[in-house]
Amino acid sequence: MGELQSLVGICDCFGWVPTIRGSLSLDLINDANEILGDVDKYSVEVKNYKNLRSEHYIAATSLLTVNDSKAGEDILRSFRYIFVGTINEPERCNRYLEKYHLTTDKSLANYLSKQGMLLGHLIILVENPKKLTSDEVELIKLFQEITRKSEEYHSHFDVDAAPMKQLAEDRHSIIEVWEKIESLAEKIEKSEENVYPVYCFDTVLTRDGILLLKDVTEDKHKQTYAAPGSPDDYTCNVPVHRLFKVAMNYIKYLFHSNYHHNQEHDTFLPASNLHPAKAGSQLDLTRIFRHQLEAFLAPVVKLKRHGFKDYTIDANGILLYTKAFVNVFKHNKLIADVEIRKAEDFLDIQEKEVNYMMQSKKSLVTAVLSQRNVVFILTGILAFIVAVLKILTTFVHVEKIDLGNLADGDVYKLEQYLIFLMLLAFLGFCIYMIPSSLILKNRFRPKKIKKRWFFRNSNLEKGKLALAYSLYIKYNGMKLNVSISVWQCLANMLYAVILLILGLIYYCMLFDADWLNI
Amino acid sequence: MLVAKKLIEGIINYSIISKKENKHDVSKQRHGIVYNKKDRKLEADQSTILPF
Repeated sequence: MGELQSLVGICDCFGWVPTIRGSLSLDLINDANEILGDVDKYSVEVKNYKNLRSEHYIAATSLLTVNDSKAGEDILRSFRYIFVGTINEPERCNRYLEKYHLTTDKSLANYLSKQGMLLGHLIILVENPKKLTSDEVELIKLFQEITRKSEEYHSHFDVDAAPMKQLAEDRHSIIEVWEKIESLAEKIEKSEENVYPVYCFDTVLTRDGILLLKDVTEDKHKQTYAAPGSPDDYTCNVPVHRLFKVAMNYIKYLFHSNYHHNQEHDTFLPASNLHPAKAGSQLDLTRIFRHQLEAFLAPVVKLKRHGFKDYTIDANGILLYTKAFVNVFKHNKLIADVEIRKAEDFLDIQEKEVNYMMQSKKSLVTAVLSQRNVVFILTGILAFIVAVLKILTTFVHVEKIDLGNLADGDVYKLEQYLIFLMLLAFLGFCIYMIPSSLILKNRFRPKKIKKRWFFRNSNLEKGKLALAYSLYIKYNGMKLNVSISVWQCLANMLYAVILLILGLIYYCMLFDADWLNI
Repeated sequence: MLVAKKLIEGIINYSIISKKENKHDVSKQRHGIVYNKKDRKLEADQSTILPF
């Protein structure tokens, strides 16, 4: 077992944030659009330089409403996520090690010093979508402030090439806001005003993607997922596995973007319960390794059984991630070498099988892609037109027109010939494009998430939430004490007015109403 | 046109929900959580992933 043994031993859940090159990037955090969530999406990362070390401060929040078909007044589907974390920050690092009695582990201290690790805290609040608490409004305002300061800092750095002193002051002021966010998050977590449960996790994320969660939820809230009489026995608590998975997914999307499958098909990375692995005298992660590996390979097997017709995932891409996962276990010495070698050998065979079975499909897709350019398409259409005309003139007499000496009747004939040629060109284009498009449908392309503002997805609550929440947060500072439902009504009225105006314009264009003319 | 679009999307969503195979296919289900405020319990959300 390697340097992480003692850390793994105190945690409750194991997961892995996929990374091909063995090093997670912090770039994605600064784009709040990429993180999980529907509204109130904020995420910030700031780097602070101290002597020869760089400290990172990370904060993110969003409100996520789970999509439906399980409906009903009794079911709450909205959750607010709040995450704060640091990397290489000595004060918080020491506090974490002291909290879990890990200060004497020299190998872990060495790992932290050389590799760095994200130590964070994740809060999942069951949200009342009708009304926010004043603390939550304050939290969102702080996130708005830190986002604005971060953007100003990047502008000073990238555009203005500001002096080092000013940049240091900017960073210091961002960190001050970050500390306020950290304190407020702690206050929200422990607040007696919380009507609904608050779930909390201490999180550890290594550079190569190992994600460890420690459940630090208060006992009164643990009762919502613990089987009776077993709040500490995680082997008996089924919903907690789902809670871990949700927590893991949130942190994952702060650092990871899907390249090899679409987001709605992101179901194959499990959160592994660490308690069975700790049950024996020694920590044994073999079953967890197999559990994660099988989860990776399950979609590939399913794809194979369907003859690679369902292209919602890219099989080769998934196999690359699987190999990277095996490397992580190998280089962190988390399981025996014999298990690693076995996994690597079978992955090689699996990869060869996938390549062999997809060979003909891939060749066809490659051939079609290489021919999909303007020159090729125009040449093809021209050849089609010439061929059709050649065949036609064999059976049908076509009167020639002298373009230099056009008679009255010739102009009409010329128009007819031109229309015919255009129709032929269009037909040739369709004959080329339709089969090649059908072939190209067989290749994997990540589906871009549509960012619809007016009409969101099937859950209408989210559509109203987007605008209503923005207005609520903005005007709540004026102490109007207007609830979100009022803003939702206003948002609905605004949508209706905009639709009415668009409908009027369309009507006038259609019927050429004179009363609009000035 | 927008109303027609939403209607068609709704019909497609309904046809996906009503198919038995989708209810039992784990890969087409969400892996989330919901909170039942009547029972005060956390429950797994295994609702079908809808196309629209």
